[in-house]
Amino acid sequence: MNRIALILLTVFGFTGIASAQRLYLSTGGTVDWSDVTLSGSNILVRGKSTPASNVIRVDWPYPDELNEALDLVLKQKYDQALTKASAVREIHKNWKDKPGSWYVPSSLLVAECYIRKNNLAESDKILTELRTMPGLTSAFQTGIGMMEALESFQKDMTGPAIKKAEGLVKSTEDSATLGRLHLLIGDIKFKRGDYLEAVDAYLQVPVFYGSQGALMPIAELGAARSLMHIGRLQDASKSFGLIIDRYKGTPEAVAAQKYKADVDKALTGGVPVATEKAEKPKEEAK
Amino acid sequence: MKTRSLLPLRLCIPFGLLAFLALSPAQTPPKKEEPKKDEPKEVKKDEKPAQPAEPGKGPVIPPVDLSSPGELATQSDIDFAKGDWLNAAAKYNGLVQIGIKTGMDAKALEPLYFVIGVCMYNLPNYDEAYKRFTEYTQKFPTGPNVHQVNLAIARIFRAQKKWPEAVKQYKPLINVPSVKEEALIELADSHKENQEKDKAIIVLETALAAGMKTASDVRAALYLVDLYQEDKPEKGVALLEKIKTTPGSRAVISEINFAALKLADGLMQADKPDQALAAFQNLRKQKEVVDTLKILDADYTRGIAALAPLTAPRMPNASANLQQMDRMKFFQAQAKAMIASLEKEKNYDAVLFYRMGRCFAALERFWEARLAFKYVLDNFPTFEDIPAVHYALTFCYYSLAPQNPDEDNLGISKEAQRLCREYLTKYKDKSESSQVAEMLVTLASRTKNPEQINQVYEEVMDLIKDSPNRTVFLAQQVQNYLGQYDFDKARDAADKFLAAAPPDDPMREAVEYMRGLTWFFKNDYKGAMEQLKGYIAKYPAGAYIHDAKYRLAFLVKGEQMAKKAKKMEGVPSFMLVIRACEDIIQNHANTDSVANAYALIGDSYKEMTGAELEKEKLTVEQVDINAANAYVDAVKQAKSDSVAEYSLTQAAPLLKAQGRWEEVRLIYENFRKAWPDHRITLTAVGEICKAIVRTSDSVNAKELAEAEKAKLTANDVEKVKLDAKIKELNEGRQKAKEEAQAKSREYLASTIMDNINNPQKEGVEELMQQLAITAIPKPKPRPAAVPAPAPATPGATTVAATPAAPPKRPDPPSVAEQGKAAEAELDRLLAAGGKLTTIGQARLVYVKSQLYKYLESRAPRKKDAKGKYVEDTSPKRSDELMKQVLTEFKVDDYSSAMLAAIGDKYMKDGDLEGAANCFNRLLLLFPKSLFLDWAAVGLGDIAMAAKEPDYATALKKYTLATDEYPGSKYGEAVMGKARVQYATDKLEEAEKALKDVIGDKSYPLESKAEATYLRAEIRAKQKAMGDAYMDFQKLYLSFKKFPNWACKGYLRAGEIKEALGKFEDAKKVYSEAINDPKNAEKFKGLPDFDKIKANYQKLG
Repeated sequence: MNRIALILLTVFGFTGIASAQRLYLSTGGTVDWSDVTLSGSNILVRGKSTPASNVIRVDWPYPDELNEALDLVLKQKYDQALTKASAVREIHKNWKDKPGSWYVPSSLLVAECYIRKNNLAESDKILTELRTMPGLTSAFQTGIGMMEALESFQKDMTGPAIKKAEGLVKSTEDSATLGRLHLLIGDIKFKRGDYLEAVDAYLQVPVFYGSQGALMPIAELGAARSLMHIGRLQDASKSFGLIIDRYKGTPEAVAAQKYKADVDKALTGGVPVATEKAEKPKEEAK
Repeated sequence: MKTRSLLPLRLCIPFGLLAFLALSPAQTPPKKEEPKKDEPKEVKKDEKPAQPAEPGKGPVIPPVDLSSPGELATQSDIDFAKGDWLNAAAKYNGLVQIGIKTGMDAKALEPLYFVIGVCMYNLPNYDEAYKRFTEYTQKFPTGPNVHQVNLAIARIFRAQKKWPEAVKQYKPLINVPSVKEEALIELADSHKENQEKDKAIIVLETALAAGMKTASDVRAALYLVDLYQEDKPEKGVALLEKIKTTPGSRAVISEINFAALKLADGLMQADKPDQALAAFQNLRKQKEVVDTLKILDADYTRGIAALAPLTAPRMPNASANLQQMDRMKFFQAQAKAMIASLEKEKNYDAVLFYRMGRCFAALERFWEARLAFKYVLDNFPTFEDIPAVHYALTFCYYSLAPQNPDEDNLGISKEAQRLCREYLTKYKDKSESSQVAEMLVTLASRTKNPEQINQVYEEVMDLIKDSPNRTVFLAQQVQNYLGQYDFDKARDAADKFLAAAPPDDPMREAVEYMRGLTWFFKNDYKGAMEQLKGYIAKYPAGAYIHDAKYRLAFLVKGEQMAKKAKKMEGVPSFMLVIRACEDIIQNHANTDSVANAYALIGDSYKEMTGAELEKEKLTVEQVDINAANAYVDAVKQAKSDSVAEYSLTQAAPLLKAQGRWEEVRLIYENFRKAWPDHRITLTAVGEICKAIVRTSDSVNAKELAEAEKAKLTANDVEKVKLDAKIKELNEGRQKAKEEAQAKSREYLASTIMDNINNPQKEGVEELMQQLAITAIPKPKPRPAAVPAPAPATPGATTVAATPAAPPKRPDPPSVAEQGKAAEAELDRLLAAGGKLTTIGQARLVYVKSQLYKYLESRAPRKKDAKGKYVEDTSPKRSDELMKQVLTEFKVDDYSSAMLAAIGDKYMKDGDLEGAANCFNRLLLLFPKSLFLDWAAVGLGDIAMAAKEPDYATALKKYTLATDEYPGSKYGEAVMGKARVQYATDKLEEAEKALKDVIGDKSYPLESKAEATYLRAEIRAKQKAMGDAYMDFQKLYLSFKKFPNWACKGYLRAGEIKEALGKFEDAKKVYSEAINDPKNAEKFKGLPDFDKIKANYQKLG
């Protein structure tokens, strides 16, 4: 009887919540990340050392630091972004090619920071390593391609940059990647003076990748600036106004305020712009 | 049912439903998974199989044989694992009975009480389950499974729709970590079902107040979004914004799409497109959702595989792991179902983005809407709403097309027309086809290109053959042909209409009238009379009766003109025309024929013969007055600028001749107010100013004339008195003139003030310049001549009388004196009101600088003691003011004209950065400016001035100036292009351009010199040395005025001779440059001159 009771106890008697960050070892066991200390290429679990290469898989939710790093990149704070992304990269380098690892995404962010800082020697090292990593998913390969396009763009080689970037559009369906890719294409087109194409590239974000909230103000600002360059000043003024309203407190809203003031001043001497309406057919568009 | 945990109950709550519905707007939720047919339940030979249970009212637990406890324990676990809940419960119940009989510790029995409840719940027999779970809580109030038991009791209440009890039961559980995830949403749902939506909202808002991190937080948030839908959709939108940034949102990607779409649709229906847009902007494309779900599916498979060994009975945390594994299995099943459903949906993205496009269009964000519609149109040809998408895309392009086709540098109008045609070809039967046809006609009409318009009408007629709106277009076509003076086609189109349209067609009268007009326009007097009279007879109250009467009057006037010219028999009577016109004025007020009638009256008076004047007892003066009055009335009543302009130009000379300056001012002012953007508006301002000044002409005019007349017969004493009076009258007149001039300046200033702060308004600087010049004080008149000395008194030594010395002309006022006064006047008129923005202020300073430049250029040049002109190097006020413009104002304070002029100044001063700032701003922000060629040429020059010239940019800019913005800088742009072409070895193109410059007299001489030089260099490059030599020689023969070019000519001509081996000839050329003293003087210091000398020396 006791045996039966015991069995039942083990089945139903314990409740607990599994750890969010867990390492799976080749020995069959698992360890919570909270119990782990990194020591060189080993992991220390409650004083016991195991080679980190024994980790065969990790359960690790998307690291907040990567979100923060991306946000900092978008705010052009590359040094801070580099610190955040490098910290994640440092941890995950111990199981860089194992399922669940965040090594590649963090490395891509680190590479982007270096490219933006024009430290191409460092970014090249990272990209070279990533290119030779086996079994990279197509999303990661797209990420590498984006970095290559960005590198060309930074070097003012807009021809190769646009060729590379446009070639990547069909390689993924991931909103986060495509949103950033279209932003990059917009930047390149803008730099080349192809403003109408830049408008279309930037507007891909609010139309198709609106789920990428952090990219929205940047893309909309890019589109509004491009509209300004193609002489659609009233449309540009309206777009700047929308950015100011919707993205209050962001650097883009501040920039939009300046641009709008400039456009309005040029249009009317500062008097708010009245939007011209097109002659409409009898019924509204469906 | 094989499920072991309580989790499947979640299928019953709306959230689960919501998750399934999220698959697609048009899909039905997937069916619950049925037990597989090939897995029949195993029935023990000694057991009765469990009966299918009615929900909540299952069979009671049957008794079992208690003789073999070991066997019972083993078998119960097996039954439980198989999901044979009734038999498992019976066996566990047997174990409990054995335990009680044997006096086993109550604690040891705790798991058995729990598991029996679980079995009955899963069966389900809610009454029995409730009984068992309640028993558990009484026996083990702090037992290890008490929270699971309490959750199960709460769920039983929900299943039995006992909402108040469920709420009460759930409440404490939302603070228990192990069950709070499930309890939270289920409590909110129970509140909702209990008609306590507000409480449901509070529960979820409170729980999420700390932020969202996990997928379960996102699930709770999505439930909250659903609760917000009806009353607080804006909160739902805000919450979706937060969900976007939550890492755990990936796991519920499909549910987010569903929730966002539902919320957005609701907001669109509530006419809140701005909020709807924010909701729409959470949507992700189908492929991304499916891909993510597949990744999740793979993750779940891996997770389940990893957890499976950890759920073995003796493993630590086995219960928790089991619970987690069950959750994973549930979500995996959900993900698989969603993938299956999504993959069946062919037009999922089309639905999403068509709606999103409509939302953008509702916000008049046509740039964005266009992308959404285009995406759907290009990628979903089978989408059922594709005609509507096509229409919407067409409408976007139509809305984005500029009103003025000349401004359509992006070809948007062309694309809009293409889409219209495609729509009309594919969907002519759709109700929107007439609107699309209307768009196409409007777009074509904007081009003002008759051929294009006609072509479009023909197309439309063909495309909308069966449309009910066809007659409207036919009628428009008639009008269009009339407008193009193509009267035969107009008549044909009218005939087509009359044949096709029903008798009661509302356009019939209009078409009949227009058809009648074709005779009028073809100058078929008889036919026109017949048609017009016919119309008047048929439609006595017709819409065009006034116009018909006016045209008849016009024809009558033609008849009288013919009689006057003796081309027709009879005595002309223009009074007939006047009477006909008066009838129109009297009976058809407020129609556009009234102004026409007045103008025709004016014309008729002007044509009256002497005989008719006599007959009508009119004087010539009276006729002029009557004509002028008629034209003035025509200007006042005009409804079109052409009638107004015609009448104005007729009235003005008559009024001026009659000295009616006040009326001159009024008609011009009327015109300016009615047609502010008319091309003669600036002329009107000038005329108004002139008229204001001339109103002073009448001051004392009569009195002066009388005094002058009286002087003719007056004696000396009276003459002296009359002279004094005349002087006084003249002074009064002068004073009145000065006052009128001041008034004129004030008028001009008020006109300037209307636009001075608007940088886009061009011509303001010119008006200001005009004002500045009128503000310059007039030079003082020469004083009266000093009378000759009186004759010598008799006896005195006679001294030869010398004539009176001419009075010395006072020194002309200095630049400073004139400028200061004018500046003060400008300040008084323009700046004193304090209404100038920085733009107005910059303009004022700029115009002052221009004023001084003008005064400085007119100031007498100083001479030295030898009478030679001396260069004035004193500091100039114009420079000082220009410096002020540059330093005290920013580039964004400059108007378009100023940007052009100041950019040019920067260029001349070598400040390329300053110049580029001005020119870029001009191009960027003043796309309609008349000065764009200045910017384009300036930027081209800047590109060429770089250390390494950027030929591509330069050519682009110069081409912009020649092709897009031809203006006063056209010549410079052509020269710029030629320079680039020469530098890039496009010699033939360059030569062609240069030939035009050299042959065109309108180019400045210096440009021709440069063109000649470039052509010579081209020829040298082409090895046509003879021709090259001729051109270089031409430089020093024909362009001596320009030492730079002449010197260059000598140098290159000599070098050509050297290249040909004709060294003596070369020496001669160099010698002429060096030894001619005039040349030597002019060329001194020029680098090319030094080269000539060096070459000469080299040749010995």
